[in-house]
Amino acid sequence: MASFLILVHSSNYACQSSRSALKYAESVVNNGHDLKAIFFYQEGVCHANTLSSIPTDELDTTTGFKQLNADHNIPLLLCVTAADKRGIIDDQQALEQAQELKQAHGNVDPAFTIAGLGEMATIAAVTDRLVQFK
Amino acid sequence: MKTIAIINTQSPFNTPAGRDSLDLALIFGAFEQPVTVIFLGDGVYQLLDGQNPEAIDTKDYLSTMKAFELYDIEHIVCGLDDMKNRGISVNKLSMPVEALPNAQIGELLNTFDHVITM
Repeated sequence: MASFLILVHSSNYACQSSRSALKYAESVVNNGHDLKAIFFYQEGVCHANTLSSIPTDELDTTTGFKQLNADHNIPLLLCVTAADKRGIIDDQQALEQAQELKQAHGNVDPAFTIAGLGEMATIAAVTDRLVQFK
Repeated sequence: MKTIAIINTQSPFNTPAGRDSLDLALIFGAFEQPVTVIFLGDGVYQLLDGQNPEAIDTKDYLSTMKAFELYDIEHIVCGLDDMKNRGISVNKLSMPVEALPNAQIGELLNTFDHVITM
């Protein structure tokens, strides 16, 4: 058994690598390995946006990642600086910025945990394999 | 502890890849993981000295690369073939860099626990 950390760099829509990341993650778990976390960086943070809606006849990878979180407790870590730059904020940030943004709620799916590069680096330091999907 | 290689493959200002990569390198450095930063392909343009990103209204993250030393990131490598192909000589670079033939960099990459490509 090996431990894994997966980095997702691409957005949830229009990128095959998002699907590859999901399939890879599922395989890691189904083969009994230890998937420590999936870290969403760069455009990857778009996976957490509750306001994106994918047509039902297309693969919605966010649903797949959330399933991994729900079934196997795999942390879905969202890089906070990358998310902020792309307008993906949680309710608390939205409240803090409500005056400015005229918006009363955030759009981060609650299955995702706001994190930072530091958390990712801490996990990488104790993980056998780090796999990127770009 | 894990040894980390971070590979830069993109030119400095077309996308935020170089900046994001720098953040990664400094974070791993701050967490005391040994980091080697490698510049390949168009990534070598990030090393050119005397760039003026303000002229295109872009934040100058290149000067932050001077912080590598503070984070004990001392091993900076670039692809010698990539430099030659782009007409860049080592004395045009903004910091001391070890230029290795690209074929050797392949072997070098086998020595790291984690490799992150940006």
